[in-house]
Amino acid sequence: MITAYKKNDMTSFKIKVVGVGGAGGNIVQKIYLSGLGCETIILNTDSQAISRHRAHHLITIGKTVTKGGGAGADPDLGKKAAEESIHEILLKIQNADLLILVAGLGNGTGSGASPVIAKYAREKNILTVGVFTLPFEAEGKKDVAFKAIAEMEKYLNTMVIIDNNVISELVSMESSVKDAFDLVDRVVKNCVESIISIVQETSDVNVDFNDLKSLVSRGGLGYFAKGIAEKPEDVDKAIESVVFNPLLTGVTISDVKGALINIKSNGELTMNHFREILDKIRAHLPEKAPIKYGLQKEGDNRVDSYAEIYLIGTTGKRTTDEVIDKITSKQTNWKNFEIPPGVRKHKK
Amino acid sequence: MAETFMVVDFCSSKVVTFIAEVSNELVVKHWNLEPVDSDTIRQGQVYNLENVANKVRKSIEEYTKKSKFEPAHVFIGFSDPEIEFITSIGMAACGTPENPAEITEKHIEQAIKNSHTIKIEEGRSIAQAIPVRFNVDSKTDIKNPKGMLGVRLEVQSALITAKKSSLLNYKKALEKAGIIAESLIYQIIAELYELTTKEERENGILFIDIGRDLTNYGVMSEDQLLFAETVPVGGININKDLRHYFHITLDKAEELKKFYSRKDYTDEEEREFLNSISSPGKPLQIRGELVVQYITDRLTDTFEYIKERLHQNDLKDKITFVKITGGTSEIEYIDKIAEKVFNITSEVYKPDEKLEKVFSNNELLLTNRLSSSLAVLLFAHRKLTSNKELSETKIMGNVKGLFKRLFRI
Repeated sequence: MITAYKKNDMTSFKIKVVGVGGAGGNIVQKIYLSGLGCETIILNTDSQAISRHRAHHLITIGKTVTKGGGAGADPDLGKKAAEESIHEILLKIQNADLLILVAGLGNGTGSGASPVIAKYAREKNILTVGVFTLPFEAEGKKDVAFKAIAEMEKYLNTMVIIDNNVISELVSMESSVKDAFDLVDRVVKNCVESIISIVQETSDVNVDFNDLKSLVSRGGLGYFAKGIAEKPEDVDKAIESVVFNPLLTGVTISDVKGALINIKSNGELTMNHFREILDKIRAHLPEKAPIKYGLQKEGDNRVDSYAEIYLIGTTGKRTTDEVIDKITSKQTNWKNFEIPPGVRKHKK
Repeated sequence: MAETFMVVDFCSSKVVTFIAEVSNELVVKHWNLEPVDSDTIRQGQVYNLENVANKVRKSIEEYTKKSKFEPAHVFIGFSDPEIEFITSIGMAACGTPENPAEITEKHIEQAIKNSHTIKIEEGRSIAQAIPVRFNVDSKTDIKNPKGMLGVRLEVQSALITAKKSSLLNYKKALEKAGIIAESLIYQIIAELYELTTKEERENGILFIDIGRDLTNYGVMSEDQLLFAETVPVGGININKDLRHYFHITLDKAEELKKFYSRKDYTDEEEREFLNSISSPGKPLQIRGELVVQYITDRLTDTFEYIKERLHQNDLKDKITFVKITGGTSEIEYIDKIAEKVFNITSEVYKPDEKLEKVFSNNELLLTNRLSSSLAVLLFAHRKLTSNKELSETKIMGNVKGLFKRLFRI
């Protein structure tokens, strides 16, 4: 079933993106610098690191327990730091309609403080999506990351997991470490951008915050993807980017139980291409998964491309074991088999 | 009356059941093939216990109406992309340097048992263990150490480990159907031992079974099992690729794959076929050579992956021949694609005359699609008959005692 929804009011929803720890802070800084329509907050136990960051709000947490010196890879210390500063954190997040929690898991602040924030957000009934990166295998910190995921699974509405190991397999061997980390940052930024595009940018045929709320509340793992066609000839490639996103861990488009699609254009998108986009995405989703789409029929001077496609999907509620099982599955490394070989070569 | 044994083989799109006699010659008393959907079994794993139990119940319904159902042994054939192949060494002390002792069956059993005491990742367990070779003191690569004099016996075992939950689900599904299973058989291991010749196993063979959503492959060289693995890719991925490129349903993609799996067809046949799958007033505009290209791309990609894995495991130089089977091997040019990737002779395996005799040329059973089930049946039969110290197994006519060592499951 595909439905379109026409939005009547122009209410703006408050989206707050919180970067926890070093990795989370780096990513959220990029979101802040890109000017996406959301409020950014960076939390860290390391006061020196936080002074180098830029965001709407910078908070050094746990000044008493860590003395501003960082959590020293100890999640317990990260947890205590977040608990100590919880009132300050709550002041910044309490009026959010949607909270996006971004952290690199495996170290002290990201793994220890994120579950505390997720718990309080749940208590305050704030719709919360977690976007997390898993550490490299060689770091030997996966257990710490999984423990944090197991705890947060109880509180978060949806989680998106990006495994650094998968990223390192996808970039070419000649790529620099900076390129690999930039790719991680880009994936997280795309997730946030997809959400903002769906709930904050209005158009004639629209999906709105309530659609997002009902989708995200289904729980489980999130599938977020973005595809851009600069020219009409690029539409197929843009669709491929949306339906084959190998960068997300434990989830492919065929796992999605419901999706929102937003299509933006510079005003030149033809009806044929519009239908092709919807039909081709529909073909990759499970038969019964409901989808809702938003479309800008008129040109928007903020969009230069022929078509920008954003998709958000969720797998539906899963138990913690299922989530971790899916993430740790050996098949995660084989997810590329879902992508036609020709498309995969092109992506590389 | 001879005892009976039962084999329940879990494939990606079907459950295949056999009831046979534990006798020198393989006598199959009953067989059944129950199709299952992907919500019941997916990638070889149980997703719906109750449905699987119903399928198993249904598969023996006809038999139980006519005969008493009391199988003395029950085997499960399985595949799972989470399987890991590890090798482990086990040792047993037989005597002292001053007083070497004769190696007995007991010493061999002890060494094999010790090879199982290896640290396995939490949540996993050993599904199957196969002794690969023995060393006695400084003598290595011994096929059968029994009766030799030595101080220290060493065995190298191939251990197949899988997630405990997956393994328990197979057994639980059968329990729900009132059947207690005793052993698990990894399908590709059965295929390697049962569907190849001794010469192929000696010279080095790569056996590949490409099914609906799984590809199993394994390597044997110098008559030793060297590697086995399951990859979550199969014929369904070809259908998905065609769906993606031609914007058609999966059912139509399957028909497209089937037609263009043929090496030869006339222009008229092609026109007729495309008309038959087109919607009224909306003829499908598809170029045949493009379909063949996409099929070839997917198979090449799968074989390239296997080649890479062989390379990673230092096995590339151990193989001289490739044998392919499974439903997807019905693509008539698959052997040519394999030859191009592996650069060695490749051939498609089809159930041969030994099985034709057992199943009286039954065409429903004697197909590449059921190679793994037939192999599991043969493997289970050999295990039981070799345990009974039979002088010769008539089905395969292999060396006496070899399988007695192989089946320490």
